[in-house]
Amino acid sequence: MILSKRNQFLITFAAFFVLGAAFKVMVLVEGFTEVRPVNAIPPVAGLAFGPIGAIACGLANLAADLFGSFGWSSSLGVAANFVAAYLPYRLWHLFSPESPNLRSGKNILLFSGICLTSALTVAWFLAFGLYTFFGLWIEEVYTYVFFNNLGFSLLFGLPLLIVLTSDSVSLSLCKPAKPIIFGRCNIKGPACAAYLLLMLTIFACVFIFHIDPQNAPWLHGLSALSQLGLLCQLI
Amino acid sequence: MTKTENNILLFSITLCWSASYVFIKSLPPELSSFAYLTLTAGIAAVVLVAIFWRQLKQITRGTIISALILSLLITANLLAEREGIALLPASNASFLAALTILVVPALMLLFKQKPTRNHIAGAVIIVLGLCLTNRFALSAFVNAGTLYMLLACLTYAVYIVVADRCTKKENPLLIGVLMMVFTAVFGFILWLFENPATFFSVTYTRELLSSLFILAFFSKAYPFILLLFSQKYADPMRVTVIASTEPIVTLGLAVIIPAAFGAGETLDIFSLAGAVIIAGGAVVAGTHFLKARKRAEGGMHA
Repeated sequence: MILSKRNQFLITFAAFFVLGAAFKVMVLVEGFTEVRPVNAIPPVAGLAFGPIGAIACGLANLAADLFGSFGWSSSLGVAANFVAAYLPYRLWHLFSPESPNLRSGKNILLFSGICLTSALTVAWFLAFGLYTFFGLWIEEVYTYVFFNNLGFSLLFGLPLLIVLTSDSVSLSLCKPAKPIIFGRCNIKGPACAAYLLLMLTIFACVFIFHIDPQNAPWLHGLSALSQLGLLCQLI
Repeated sequence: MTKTENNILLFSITLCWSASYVFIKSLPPELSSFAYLTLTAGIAAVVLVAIFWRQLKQITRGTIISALILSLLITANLLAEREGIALLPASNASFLAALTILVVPALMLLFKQKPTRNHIAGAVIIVLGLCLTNRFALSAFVNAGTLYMLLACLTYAVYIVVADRCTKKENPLLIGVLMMVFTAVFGFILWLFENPATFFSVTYTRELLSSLFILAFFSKAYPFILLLFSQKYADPMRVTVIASTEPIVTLGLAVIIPAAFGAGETLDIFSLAGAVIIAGGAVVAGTHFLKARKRAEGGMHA
């Protein structure tokens, strides 16, 4: 099945918007987050449609926010959902020569690893973004965003990608874009591993040890390093 | 589609149906089963038609007949289940519903599809696990509710076997879309008899609309399309075996989000042992070691 770029955008936007708006009543942190099965869509949209899917996810999140949690922080949501879709697209093509599919155990493992990295990234991005730009530190935002992203992208994203890449649907997927930074120097393995380690360290600090950046300024250092790592992977 | 991919699809369907219980509970009690069926299947039908309208041009007579039969079966199943649940204790109702695992292999024999030794052994182990989950405290079966639940169990088993045959011949996606349309129509006709005001009799709050959208997606559109889709690649026994792990999934969800399940489910030794036995049964039914053993024995005798 071949979809035009306009249809790729519209389908992703509509699916994200309907599902995102429907769950606005299941609030977890008032004004910030709710139970979000819609988080299954960004990794799949990113892998399937690349930057078009990522833009659609970001904008649809903004539109869905109008039904409950719209505010200045919604701008962070746009960027976070763009990253949630675009990062899996970049990571898949960095580590696999194949077009995205889950036909082998290796690919399922790669998809799961990508979902973990993406969930950690989005949780860090939103929680630290809220603190940096709005002076709000809400540990629950980090926790809920992480589990929402990881859980739903594995539980529903995995089957969704299986269907889209099956023989019956056989969706034509977005071609890989050449990485600028990792294309010039072959350090993608160690760099991505270091980034994941950084993300896991932040996860341990926030979720296990309940350290907040107000009392631990060194967390800002880790956050700055994370920004650098994220940029390297996205560009 | 590989076997692993298919198992992932089937497991995600089981997860959806287990989780939909949370949202069904949040529906107002005055919303009748017919209204629920019409609204959820209707929303699912509209969404599916909007997404797959281009493929609808490929509909054949066979697709329409398949979808019609399947939607009749699923409507009968939902209505019988509704009556059964109303007349029986919840544990008896869920036990009887789970007996599909025994009915499917029996029906397969009618279609000259012989279940394997592993299928039969796995089914027996799963039933044992279900009994243990219910603490063997099953009584008060002499009731019209039992008949309704057995009818529900039978219609669902027939649905699985018929869907298996239909999806091998016709496009499962189109069957799924049409099935939702027909189910919504059947639901609406029944609702019309029950309450002629139909759509105008419901007070639409934001919470109700939200729950209906969620249920339309997670208990109708997504699982039924995926079920038909995966049945193209799986045999009816595999579908039933994975569906029979629902008590494990429900138990897991109840432990993770106890508030959503009314904090009624407790992780005691019975439910844990039952879950382990059900999982063991699913593994036995999903493998072929008994067949291999028989072959090996045959080889030695020779």
